[in-house]
Amino acid sequence: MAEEQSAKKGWVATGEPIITNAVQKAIEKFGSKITPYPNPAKEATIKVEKEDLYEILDFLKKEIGFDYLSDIASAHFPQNEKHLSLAYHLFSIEKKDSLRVKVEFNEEESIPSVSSIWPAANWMEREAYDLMGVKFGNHPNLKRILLPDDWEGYPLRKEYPLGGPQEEEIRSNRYGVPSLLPDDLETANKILEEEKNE
Amino acid sequence: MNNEKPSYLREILETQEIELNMGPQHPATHGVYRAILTLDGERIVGLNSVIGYLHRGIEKWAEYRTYKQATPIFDRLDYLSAVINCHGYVGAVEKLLGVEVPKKAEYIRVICDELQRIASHLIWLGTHALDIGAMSVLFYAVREREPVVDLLEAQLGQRLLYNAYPIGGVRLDFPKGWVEVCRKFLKVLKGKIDDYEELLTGNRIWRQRTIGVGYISKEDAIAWGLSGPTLRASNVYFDVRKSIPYSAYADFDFEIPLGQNGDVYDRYLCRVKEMRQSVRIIEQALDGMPEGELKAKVSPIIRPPVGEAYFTIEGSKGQLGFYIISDGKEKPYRVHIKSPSFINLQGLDVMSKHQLIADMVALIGSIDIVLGEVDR
Amino acid sequence: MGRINDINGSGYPKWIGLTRLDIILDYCRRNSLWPMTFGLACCAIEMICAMCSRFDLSRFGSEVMRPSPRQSDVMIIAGTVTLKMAPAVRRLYDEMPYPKWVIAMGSCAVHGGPFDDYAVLQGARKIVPVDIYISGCPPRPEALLYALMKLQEKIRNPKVVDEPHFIAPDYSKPTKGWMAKGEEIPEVVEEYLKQGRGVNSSQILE
Repeated sequence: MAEEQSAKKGWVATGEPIITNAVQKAIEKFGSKITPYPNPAKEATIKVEKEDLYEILDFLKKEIGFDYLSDIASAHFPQNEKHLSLAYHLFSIEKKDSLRVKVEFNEEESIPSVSSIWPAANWMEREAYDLMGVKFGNHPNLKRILLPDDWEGYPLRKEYPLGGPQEEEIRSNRYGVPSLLPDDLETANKILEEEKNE
Repeated sequence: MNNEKPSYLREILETQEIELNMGPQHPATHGVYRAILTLDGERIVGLNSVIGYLHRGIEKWAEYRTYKQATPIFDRLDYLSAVINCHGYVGAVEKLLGVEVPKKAEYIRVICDELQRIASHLIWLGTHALDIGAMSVLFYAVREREPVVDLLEAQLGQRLLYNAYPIGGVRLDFPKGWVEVCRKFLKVLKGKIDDYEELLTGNRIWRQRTIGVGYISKEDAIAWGLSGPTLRASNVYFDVRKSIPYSAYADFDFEIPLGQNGDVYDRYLCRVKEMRQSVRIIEQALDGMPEGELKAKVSPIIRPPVGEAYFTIEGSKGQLGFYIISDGKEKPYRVHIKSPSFINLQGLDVMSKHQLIADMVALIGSIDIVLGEVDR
Repeated sequence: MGRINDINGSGYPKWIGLTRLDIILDYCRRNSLWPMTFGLACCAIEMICAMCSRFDLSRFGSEVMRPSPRQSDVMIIAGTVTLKMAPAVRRLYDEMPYPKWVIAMGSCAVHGGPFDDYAVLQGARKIVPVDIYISGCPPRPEALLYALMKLQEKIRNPKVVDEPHFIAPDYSKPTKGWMAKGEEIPEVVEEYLKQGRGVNSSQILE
């Protein structure tokens, strides 16, 4: 029963939302644009919409003091309404406070790049574009970074097979049939002589 | 530091910028890293890093294996400090499950982590000095690393890629006699680190090649997301062991060495001092080892609750983070790895402005990249 | 007349030898194989360890590791070959002058290793002809030394490749673990052996 329900709703996190001081201040300023997100591991998480993302992240850096961008992680949920999601992990070096900002969107939409707020986001967004196909607007250099430049497809998507273009070859002949001789020297020598005589 | 071309030359000579390829196979790039340098004479004017020559698709690979089956692959990320990678992944799964690791297991994990950090910094020191020209330091450092690797082999079973920790604790206690051998070795190591400092720290040639090279300011370092000794050399107090304490590090008394100028010489000093602090942590852990269980009770098939967790630890290169999304099944839905070398390598753009080509070699060595971690 | 040491009654003294030029050249080639530092991933660290003082590679003839392909004999492919790196590997192999050999070190170079995914070339044998395969993840430096010795045997006598040549573990003797050469087995271990138990390296450390 629970599986059917979750299959209809898609991926929904369990747990309770944690509200820290930073989240409180952000909610005071932006109101309903920020929704606290539940998390089973007791981490402060908020969810925002794509249109308000740049404004909110700017506020978080300048007013609240999240000066360190730790990570930008992308994920693909084909079972949800909005297929792709990005998670920005922010950290404040002075106050030792951390926050996760999540945004969900579809494949065709483009996300504003935050490399003008944190230059560290440059390569992180290139990697998200390369492996997941997230399109970023205003990015200084949006090219493939980890895969060869002429690669087609976005490997981290769920419909991309693990082996990629080599999938059939790997699954059918992963451990090719080796022509191993038996351990016993006498039988092995006999087999070799037979092969030579053939 | 005025590294611009002098004005009289700018007027008289008409020069052209050339592109030089420091290719994927190079003795000084610490792996398969390609740098396309735009040079004006010998000064670097532009840098275009090409990475991905070791991209093995670890993040996608982990989605097709159960949590326990996926544990060994994360050693291959930063293959010089495999124990710490394993600790990161296992810690993230434990955070998501809500499992509390027993105290004795935490102490054993801290000891193995710090031993691995010493081994990683020794290889860094050897290869960095080799690139700059002090070749004998490589042989001394690798000679020192062999007893560390032997100690880890006696405890964990392998020399380089250990699959060190199960989810919930550690597998085995230390063998009989391990603690005495470790203490004896740590005494020897302190003397050897003094030897390396005597060879390099006051050496005029070393200082000329490393002081003032690759400067990055405090604000730039934080904005570009650097971490680890690369960040601490610019006088930023950020060490995950102190800022976001994990495991048993809150019990130990150790310092975080900071640098004053953010150049290559300070990064070298930071790492050497970190080695001494690691020795201090191991001695305190061996003295205060508690009794108790080795592993918490975890069900054989691990099915974490639906949700996500982000766990960061202080790797030997910087802040290593694991972001795991689970959908309640036995295989992880998504594993994302925040790799410090990937982000530190971005900072090379800023650090290598107006430096000489020969400084490029010193810079790559000082950032301490490991290509397995950059490319995942 | 006095004692003349001669060869098979031929009248020539013993310090004169007669052989073919091929054999002399092979003797020189196999005893001074200079590897090219082609460390790609984790196996490169074990290659560095094999080069340094504990497992010394230069006592087997590999005095220096040349980063340039034009000056090396053996290409030790240590590490994973990805699809992005494969053209570079092939190009470096082509740039090496003859005679040249290839050792594939570690399971990634042999057949792709644990990585059965989109970006990894399933074995270096798909792009270069490999002479010796070393398995392990990563193989111990002693395995690299043994492979180098096998390559020397192969250069000396190419027919050795066709003969069955397997090395199975000898279960009748205990593993020595990391006792140094020349150390005696302590009494505790002898007791264990009398009881019929095997001995692991962690148990020897007392």
